[in-house]
Amino acid sequence: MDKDADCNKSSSEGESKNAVPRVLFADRDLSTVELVTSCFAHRGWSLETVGLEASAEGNPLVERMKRGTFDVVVADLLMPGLDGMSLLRQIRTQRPSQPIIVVSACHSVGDFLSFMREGVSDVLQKPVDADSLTRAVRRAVLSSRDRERGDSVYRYVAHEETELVFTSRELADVRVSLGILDRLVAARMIDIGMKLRIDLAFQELVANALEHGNLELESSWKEDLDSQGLDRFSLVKRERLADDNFGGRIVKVSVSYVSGMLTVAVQDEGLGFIPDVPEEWKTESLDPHGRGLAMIFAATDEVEFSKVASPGHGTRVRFRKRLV
Amino acid sequence: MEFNTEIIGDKGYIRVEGDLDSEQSGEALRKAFNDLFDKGRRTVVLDLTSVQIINSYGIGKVLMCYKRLKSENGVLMVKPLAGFVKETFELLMLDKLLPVDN
Repeated sequence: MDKDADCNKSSSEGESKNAVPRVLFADRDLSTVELVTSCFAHRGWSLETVGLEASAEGNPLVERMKRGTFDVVVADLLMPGLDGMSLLRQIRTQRPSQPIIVVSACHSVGDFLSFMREGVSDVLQKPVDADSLTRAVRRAVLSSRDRERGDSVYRYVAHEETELVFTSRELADVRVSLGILDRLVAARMIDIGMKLRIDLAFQELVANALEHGNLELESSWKEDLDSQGLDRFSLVKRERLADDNFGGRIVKVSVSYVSGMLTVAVQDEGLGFIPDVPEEWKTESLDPHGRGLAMIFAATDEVEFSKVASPGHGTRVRFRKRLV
Repeated sequence: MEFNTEIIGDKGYIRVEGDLDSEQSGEALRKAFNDLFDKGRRTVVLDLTSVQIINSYGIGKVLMCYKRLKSENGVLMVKPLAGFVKETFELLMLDKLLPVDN
């Protein structure tokens, strides 16, 4: 195989600057060191080599890792006179999630399985082929960076508090969503189904605060149709949104996510209304309305209604849901 | 969001494409239903298989269709449900109320 041509071909695929992997390479076999050095140099990757001979200071690989971080460690851990498994465990103790690629001239299926059980990213057979090594390093770097990204998203969403204020008119025009849910899905902390259920519970709360709270609309008006088939609910809604006494009223939304607990509170400026919450939702109740409450209760762990005593009126509804 | 109505024999069919999670979609369902009801259909089948999300606006309108048919000894049926819509119907026990048209 033409090693240089192979390396040039791969290099021409391009490697963005911030994706340059930092690789620590440990091997006693000069031909492998030469191949890896040449290939990495062509690609512009950052490579540092160390020996594997233990000295009074300890193993150079372990010692080097104490002084710096690397995206990937590539090492021949099956050399005569070297207890590779013990070395691997020392590395793991020091850096539990360090991506490691093992290269070796001869390894049995048993060795292979032992390395994989210790969580190495890959095991490559010597003589190492430049293509395989390139692919293995890339895979290890990508999966490690994915993990780091996940961790940083987790940290980002680990504590979040937001308070938003809308007028009734604004709420009638926009759909307010809980951005935290998207971030939790991105961090794989909740699934899409959970997001959907909580988001709908939130939409029900907001619609309730707007329509029954601030605009003081009655659900039964939805069935009260005029000669043109227009329902009273929609007509009065339109009128009241245009009226500052109703359309100018405020809805406050506060969202907090602390230590895995999501708390959402929605407060209106209406007359203040605490609904009767049935102990059980019954089929016999054919009221076309009020089902939103059931959806809120089903999607959350706890729902609390309270009348706002001051500065004006209104109802505050808060739900809590443990997500992690 | 699309609402397609069709009449096959005595039955009226409403196929909903999109989500039933807003006043507008609820209103569109009401209009599609009224169209079939005014044409004398007293058995109406709702096909919600393409609906991903339903909220109280949608549920309210489904129940209004149900009540209107029931008041004239009619019946509201649904095509087999799946996913979130099925979950919501079960939660609100609408699955006990609306027979399935297979």
